[in-house]
Amino acid sequence: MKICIRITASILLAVILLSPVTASAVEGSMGYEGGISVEDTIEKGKYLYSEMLFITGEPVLLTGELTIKKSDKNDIVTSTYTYKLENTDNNITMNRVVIYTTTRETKINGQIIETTKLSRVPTEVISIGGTTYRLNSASYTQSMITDPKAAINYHTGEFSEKKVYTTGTGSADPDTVTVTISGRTYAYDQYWSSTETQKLIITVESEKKSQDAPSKWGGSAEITVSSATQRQIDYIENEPYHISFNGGYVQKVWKESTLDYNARFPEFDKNGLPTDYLKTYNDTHSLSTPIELSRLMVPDIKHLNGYWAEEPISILLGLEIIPGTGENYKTGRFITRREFVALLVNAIKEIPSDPDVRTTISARKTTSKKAPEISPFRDISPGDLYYEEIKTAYQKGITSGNGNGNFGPNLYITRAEAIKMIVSALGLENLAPFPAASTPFTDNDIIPAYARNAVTVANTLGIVEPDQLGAFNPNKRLTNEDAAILIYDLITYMGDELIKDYRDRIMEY
Amino acid sequence: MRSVKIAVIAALALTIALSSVHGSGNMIFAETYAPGQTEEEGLFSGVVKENNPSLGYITLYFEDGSGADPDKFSELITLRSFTYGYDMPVTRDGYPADIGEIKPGDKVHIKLDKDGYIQKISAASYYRPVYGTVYSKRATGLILKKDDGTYVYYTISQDVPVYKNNRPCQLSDILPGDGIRVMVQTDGPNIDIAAIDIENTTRPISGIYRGNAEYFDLLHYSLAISGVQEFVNGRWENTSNIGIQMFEYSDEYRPLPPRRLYGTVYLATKRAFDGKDKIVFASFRGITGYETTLKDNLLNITGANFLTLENTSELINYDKDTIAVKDGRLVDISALNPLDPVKLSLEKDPYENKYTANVLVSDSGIQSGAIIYRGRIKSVEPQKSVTVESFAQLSGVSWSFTNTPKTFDIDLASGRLIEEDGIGNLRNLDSGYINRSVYIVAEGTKIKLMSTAPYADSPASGRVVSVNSGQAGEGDDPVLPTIIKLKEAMVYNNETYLWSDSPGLEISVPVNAVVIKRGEITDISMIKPGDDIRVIRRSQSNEGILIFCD
Repeated sequence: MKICIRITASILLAVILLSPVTASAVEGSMGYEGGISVEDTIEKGKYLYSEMLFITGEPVLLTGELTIKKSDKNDIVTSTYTYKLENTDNNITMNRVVIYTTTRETKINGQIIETTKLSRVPTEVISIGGTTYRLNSASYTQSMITDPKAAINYHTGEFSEKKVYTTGTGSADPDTVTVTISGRTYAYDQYWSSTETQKLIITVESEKKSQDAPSKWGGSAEITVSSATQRQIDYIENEPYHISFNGGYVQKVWKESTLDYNARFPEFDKNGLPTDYLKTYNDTHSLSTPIELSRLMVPDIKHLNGYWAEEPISILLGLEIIPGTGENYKTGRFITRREFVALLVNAIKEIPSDPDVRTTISARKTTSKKAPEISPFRDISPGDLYYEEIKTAYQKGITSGNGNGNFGPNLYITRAEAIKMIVSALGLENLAPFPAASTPFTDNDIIPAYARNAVTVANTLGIVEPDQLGAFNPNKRLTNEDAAILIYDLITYMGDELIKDYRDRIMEY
Repeated sequence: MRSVKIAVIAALALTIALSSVHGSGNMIFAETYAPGQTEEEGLFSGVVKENNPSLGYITLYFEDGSGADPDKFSELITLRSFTYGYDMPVTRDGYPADIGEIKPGDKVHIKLDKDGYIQKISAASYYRPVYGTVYSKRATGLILKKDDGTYVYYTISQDVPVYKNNRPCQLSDILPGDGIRVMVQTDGPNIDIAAIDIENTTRPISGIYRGNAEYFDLLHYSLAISGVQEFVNGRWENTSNIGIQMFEYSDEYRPLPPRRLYGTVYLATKRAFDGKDKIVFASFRGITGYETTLKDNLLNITGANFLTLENTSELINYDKDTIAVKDGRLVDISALNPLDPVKLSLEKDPYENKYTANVLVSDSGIQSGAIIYRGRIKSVEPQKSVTVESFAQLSGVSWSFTNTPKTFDIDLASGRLIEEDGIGNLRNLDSGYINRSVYIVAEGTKIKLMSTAPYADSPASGRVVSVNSGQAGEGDDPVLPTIIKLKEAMVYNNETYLWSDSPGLEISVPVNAVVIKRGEITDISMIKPGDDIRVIRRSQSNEGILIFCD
């Protein structure tokens, strides 16, 4: 039979993929109750967890364990959150199980809308001293939008929750505590850091009917919780002299989660009854994982010892973003578009996925003979150096070539082209004003129109600075070390600056 | 015939030429539509280069963002300048606006009328946040140290709105050392500031420490220090930590310490986002020769890095490693003003005649409007007011009696009642309290705190050594009082009018004691070792009833 005969067989099967696919790495790992978590470094799916309990009118910190299990079947995600919390000083325990169903829909522009609701009424029992609070009714709704970009997935959304607890047993008209939560989520996922920040307003309304003196009181808390995965690279010197390589870089990875609250509840008098005076409580709690260390390869760049760009070159070689061992690294050499795209794609890496998701895809699988690879550009072919990276960059919208279906792989890249690609990878070009920005550089008018917005954004983000004359020099060719510095600044931005915007500044302002 | 054609063409050319100088100086639009025309004419968008309400025109950059080059100015004027029309509606960021509110850098959409005048215009601002710390403040602006370490000066007009916790406040509320967010729109030399936000919670310097520098742990970015002392209220005090203590660096302060550590390190810490106190400034000094501490008032700061104080003639130098803290904020030393009270830690080389300030702390006095009264309740109008028969007003360490009734207003939301067995409820204050003697801390006539604590008339003072907090008793047992131990204590004799030493003075503080720290009503848990306090005790029991800490 002729080899090229196309064999197509359609079968329905369930493919269990142990590696997750599209879900977010961080969003949802803290739950939606105003708590914080960090992964248990040993047991998968388990988190160390803390949240503030406000139902008594006096904030109390609960700590314990959160287990998250998620299954993803045809874009419907079922998530089970199991909480076991306590505060031994105040003799409090809490057990809570919440099951959410999330429906995911991808829109025509690639954005993903997720809608979440409760699968069933959650179970929750809180024991405080001798009093038991049972969750009597609950409602929950949440919607998130994800905007996937080449280097970063951006998420934002809102959630709303209402829970009614009852205390005491046997009474037809028991005491109640109603907790209403309104929350907003801001998050992003990418390799160099990930952050999720939630801002919640919690309102607590208590109605005690069973006492001789019935009482009603209310209070509220503003909570900001944030969870971030961070990376940091430090240089470690060698102490022995007789060693085959110089000191090297070590990469540290850790996760930290922070809870900051400001609450106002009535002060309670000596008889436990509420007064009109609203007492202010505020505090900060945090959880963090131990740092994970990984050494970077020590490149052979003795010829760059003391060179002004030695550090970024060394780190990028160590991270294997710049290919090779470094011994042939030439400074002053112009870098081609092909080489720069390879650097950029290596630098942004794959966006990590949610480790808690177990994905099941029921799909009609079509087996067919592999179709011949078609290059997105006329002037580059499969098998060419960095073909895969260029194809990836094209597919992710980092580059569309230089017109006429060509990429110009061997042309030397200019600063304008490089900045355009970097900002496209970040997906932040929309930060520039419509229709086109006027940049603050003195040579604004010679910046190509296609790159003007990108240059404006890169300047705002701190990725590019003007030279001594205030110019951007858009047509200046990049040398190897210029490219290394740009890429290094990019990963520094992705690692440090984004966290500031998504955590520090939301908490501060 | 040919001449007619030429005349028609010339007339058309003249018409076009005249039209080109009419209206916006560039174009007119027909009210009739050309065959096949699918889009309306006269719509323009772009970024504002100049808006001139006096002369009535607005100039945009070209659609591709070019037009900054002075050589293109005339082209820009010709093609991208638009003249205001009459009664043109203007919006900015969705709100009706005056045309003068449109700023350079705004993105605008313009619709021209048939004569080429602006028929309507809508704009969107392009403010971006700039974050930083106030380095210094002037009458007309401030220098911001941006998060990237660079400095920028902004001229701030008095009408720039300032917010804290999303609530309006004053420009004067911005202090050196504050973290702020400035919403800035920049276009060339034009800078427009829409608003300034002060960070929600000013995270003050949580401690100033010193000790022997032991080692730096790069992996945890922490400094190990032994013999740690804390600068409390102008003096170095031993901390409860014995041996070596680790101090982690803040994310916002990451300079590498010297490769080989020795000598004394002075450091300031601040509460970080994770709730931990982390280093925000560290200075490494050599082995100290002579050292001393001073409390004084600043007279002047000279350009030669010298300070002059009001009550000492010592030569005092400061340097880039001096830790300067004003009102809890780490500041540049230039943020201090003449007559600011200062607490200094100084060191001196044995062979030098000048001291170097390694720590300088200045806390502005807080003016509190609260006045403490004592009186016997004559009548109560529940939830509204309390009247005392006569009253005494605390003045310094003595009471001034006034033999007239005085009425105080009850504000349930801001007033509190504390009684001998715990927190009371002002809502329940009724005729049952008539004839009881109470302290009333009031602002104007509004009750902030009412206490049933007994009469106090015996002043004492000292520096707090320890505070052993009281605990709630079991069952019906009373709440146990807090015990404060003082050193350098002095007591005042009401008969001889003299202060005398009282070594090892211990004061028992009941739950209904009135505690005021830095002008604010607080509770005994806010009194810390190292605080200098003034106490007015009950002479019969030596209980501390009124406690003040400045």
